[in-house]
Amino acid sequence: MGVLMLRVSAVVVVALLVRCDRLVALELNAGKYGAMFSWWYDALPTATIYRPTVSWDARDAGWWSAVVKQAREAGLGWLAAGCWGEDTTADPVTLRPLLNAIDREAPTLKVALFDDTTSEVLRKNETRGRGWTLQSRFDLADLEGRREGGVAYFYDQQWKRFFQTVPSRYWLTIDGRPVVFMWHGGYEWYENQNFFHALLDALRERTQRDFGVNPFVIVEESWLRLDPATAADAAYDWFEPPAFATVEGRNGFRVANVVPGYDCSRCNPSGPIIARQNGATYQAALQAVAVDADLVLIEGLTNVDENAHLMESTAWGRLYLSITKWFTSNIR
Amino acid sequence: MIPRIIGLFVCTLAAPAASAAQDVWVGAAIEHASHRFDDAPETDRLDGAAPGMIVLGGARVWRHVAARVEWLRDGRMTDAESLTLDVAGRTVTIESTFTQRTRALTALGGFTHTLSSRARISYVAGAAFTYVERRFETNAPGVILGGRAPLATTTSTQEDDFVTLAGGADAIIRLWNALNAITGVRLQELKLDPELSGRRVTVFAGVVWVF
Repeated sequence: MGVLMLRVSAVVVVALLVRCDRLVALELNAGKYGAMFSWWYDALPTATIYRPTVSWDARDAGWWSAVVKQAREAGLGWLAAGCWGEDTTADPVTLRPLLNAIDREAPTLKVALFDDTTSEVLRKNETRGRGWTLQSRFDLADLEGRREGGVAYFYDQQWKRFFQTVPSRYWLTIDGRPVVFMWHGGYEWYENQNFFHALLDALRERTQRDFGVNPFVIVEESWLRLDPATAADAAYDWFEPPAFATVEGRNGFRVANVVPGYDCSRCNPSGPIIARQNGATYQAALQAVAVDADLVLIEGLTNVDENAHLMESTAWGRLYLSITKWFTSNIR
Repeated sequence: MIPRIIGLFVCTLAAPAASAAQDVWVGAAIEHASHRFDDAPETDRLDGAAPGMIVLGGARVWRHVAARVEWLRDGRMTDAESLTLDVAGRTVTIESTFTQRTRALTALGGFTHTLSSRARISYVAGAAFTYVERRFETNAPGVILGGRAPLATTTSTQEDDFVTLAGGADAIIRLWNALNAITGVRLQELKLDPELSGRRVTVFAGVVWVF
């Protein structure tokens, strides 16, 4: 009888282990829905087709208040600030007005760093006198920056500036660790891609040294294909038209990426279109991913450059805020 | 869970009052419940109606004081929706259902008086210890994500336990000896996370046995 009980117990334990891909739930300090946030505007871009109802000038404190207020009304828990690094129009040090707006309009809203990894390549080439170009690849094996690489482009010019500007009480955290998203590992922009794991280790070490935290790093899944040794905490799959919803699981943590619509027909160069279909695309995207995802990254709250924004507009009113609000209230 | 424990405790306290009662009765009824929520994006698909059952007991104490304890269980309120859209040149339909199930334990007290030799009407108010389960099911993962979906259909469940004010009126009509008919209406607030407000109206009819 004792042997039988032991065998039954073993079978139960194995079944549980096979079924449960995460035995301990990770703790988020905000709701699971968040959106990309861009703020480099002094006017609406020429590519904007669907005009927001808000006057579009980030030099005006009212713009920040309106954006944060709509994020709150949509029930979003956090914003992922799309940062491009030092001396750019998306320098993390220019996020102070966002924090002031959060204090005024949505005190529980959190902020994550979204490291747009094209920017490191562009800044490196500009420093090397080649201009704002992706033509010369970034060497991930050159951490010290002696040739065509340098962790400083990622850390000193991006991550450090974010953590110096955004106090810890505003961080989106998972198990107390601030969240950092990293965008694409472009094969055509980087060389020695199998050294990405070393770059990431260096970034963690520096963040721990200077700020006392090991960030929760969520990388675009392309990095994991380029360098399987990457020790990322989680991964996401950035949408690629015509796809408008993705979900990626790693270490038992699932991150979704959705877009309500996308129209880059007026971009330079012009790009693809994902039709909004009167909100049906967005509804379908959220229905597809919201239940099973631990984190839902929506592109984007303010992306008027590519007509992917959720903000209230003259074209659709508050439709996308309302759809978001339904999911943030009922699928949590 | 905690509000239900409190509800049972309150009902237990009613036992001593029952011992001083002039009438004590128990019964069961069929109910029809309607939920109506404030008009807001987040409460879309929450309005609904469903039949259910109530097990109830009551007492008349000190001639004009009415006491009630009621346990109710609704059938499912289901909102079904189809969403047709174009995905990469093909037309697809996403089916989803949003279902509510409600259980509640109410403790009520109030005023009662006779309408005739066979009929008595009561007006009561008190607390409803309510549990609501919201369940969302959709086939969107399989339709939109295809082979990358963990499961073709997916289900999300939210549970709310809350205590709100409840009230209403009921009439008991003697049919034959101790057998009586009961009919009535109950109203209560609904409060779901996060800050979703609504109202519940229940009409019911059944039989009670007066001891």
